Order: sequence, then structure tokens, then C-alpha cells
Amino acid sequence: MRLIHPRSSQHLRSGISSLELLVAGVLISAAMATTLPLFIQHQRMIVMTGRERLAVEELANQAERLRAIPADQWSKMTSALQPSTVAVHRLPGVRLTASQSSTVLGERVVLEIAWNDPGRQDHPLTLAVWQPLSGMEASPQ
Amino acid sequence: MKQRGHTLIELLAVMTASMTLLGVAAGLLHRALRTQASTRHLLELEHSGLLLARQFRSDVAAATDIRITTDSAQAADVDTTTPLIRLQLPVAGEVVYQAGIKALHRYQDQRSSDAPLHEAYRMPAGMAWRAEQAGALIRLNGRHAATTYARPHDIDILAALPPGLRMRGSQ
Repeated sequence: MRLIHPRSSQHLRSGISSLELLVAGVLISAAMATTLPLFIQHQRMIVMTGRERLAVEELANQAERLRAIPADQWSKMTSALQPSTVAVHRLPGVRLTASQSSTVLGERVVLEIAWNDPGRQDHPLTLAVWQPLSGMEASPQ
Repeated sequence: MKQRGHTLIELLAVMTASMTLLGVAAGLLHRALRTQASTRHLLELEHSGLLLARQFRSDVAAATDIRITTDSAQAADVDTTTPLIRLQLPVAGEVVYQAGIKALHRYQDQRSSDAPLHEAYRMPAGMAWRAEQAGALIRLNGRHAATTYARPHDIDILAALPPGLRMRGSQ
């Protein structure tokens, strides 16, 4: 009777079979197929973050422009509101609007900015600027 | 006849395939690490820009005297020695904004202590800064053109001048 060593078959084997190579190739291809869209999405998110910062800056700058003039001239300015050159250049399809209303607390202008990024036309950034009625200004701390 | 071992061609094919797979995996890892570093840097720049805008507007709103110390001739260059703008604040004393190589610096002369307070807002290297008065507004503008490795980075901060403020031109 011939005795077979349990590991004798492994001793004969060396190198890599085509099947093993194929499996490794498939696994790495799958990993690449998963990660490449992530890289692309990441690049898009970086661009979108930069645009969002610009849009916030644009709103704040427009609010400062309003603060620099008396409240009775706000309607004239809001009707001729234009985004800045930088915003036009960097935010695709930028749209800046303003709506003014008089409340019991004072004049209020809501600035709204939207551009052609996913979801930004439906959910624009908004910033409200207030001019309190005389006598209602906050006392200095 | 039973074949033993491998031919040179088989060995070469396996080695080539293995090296290709290893190269692809290493490339992916390298790119992931580089992306992580650049993202962190970019987010830091964006955050610095927002903090700078808030601080600058707050300083201008509280200022009793503002002196712009740059003129249009200096605007094209990166001047790291001349302050851009000096503001006199009633409580904090003098505040100076000054361009640096990789940051915009804010020095605050604290009246209560000897050492002035220093804040550095990190910006891309070689950013060109200018400060100017535009009617009842004051503008702080920073420009950095796009390069092969960096995106363009612009900062444009407007701040309304407080009523009755004394404004002094470049010196």
C-alpha cells in the first residue's frame, strides 16, 4: 500500500494559475469601478464647495451694499440688483433676486441666489437684511 | 510526458500581469492619499476665507478711523511688508491687515497686554491683495490665478463704512 502525504499535492504546485490571475484582475477591476466614480464625485464636490463659498460671499457683499445706503433707497437698488462679475464668471447660470417687505420691526430684504448646481435651483441660498425702525436698534453691549 | 515547472514565456506573462495589477493598486492608493491632502488644504482655504470676511466686516463696522495704505501701483504685486489697511477700534486699539506669502495677517494691538494679537488667515501662495474705498463701502480683494496644480481662488469682501467715519487715503 502506497502512503500519500497529505500535503504532497501542494508541494508540486508553484506559480499562479490563470484562474487565480483572473480572480485578482476581476477584484481589482471591481475596486477601480467603485473608486473611480468616487474620485469624480469628489472633484465635483470640491467645485461645488468653492461655488457655495462664493455664493455666500456674494450674498454678504450685496447685504453690505444695502447697509451702506438709507432704507428708503432699498427698493430702487433691489429692482436693479445684479450679481458681481466674479459671481457671473464662477457661478454657472447665477440668478440673484431680492424681495422687500415692511414689517412691524422694520424694513426687510431677503436676498436669494441660485445657480446651476444640482439642487441649487430648487433650494437657493437666502440672506435677510433688516433695517429696524428708529428707536428699535439694539443697544450696544 | 508530464510537464514539470514553467516556461519562460509563462513566467514572463504572470510577472507582467502581476506588475500591472500592483501598479494599478499603488496608483489608486497614491491618488487617494493625494486627494485627501488637497481636499483638506482646499477646505482650509474656504474656511479661512469665510472667517476673514466675518472678521473684516466686524472690524470695519466697529472702526472709528480707517487708513488704506496701498495704492493701485502696489496692487499687482504681492507686498509682504506694507500693511494693506489700518483700522482704529475703540476697544481693541489699532488693527492692521497685512499680506503674507501664504496668508493674510491680522495684527491687533491689545491695549491690555504687551504682545499684539496675531491671526493668520491661510491663503494660496502668491495671492495679490488690494484694499480700496468704493463709495460708502470698503473693498478687500485677493486674487490668485489658476495654475497647473491649483484652482483659481478669489476673495472679494465688501464692508459698509460706519456713518460719520473718518477715512484716510494711501500713504
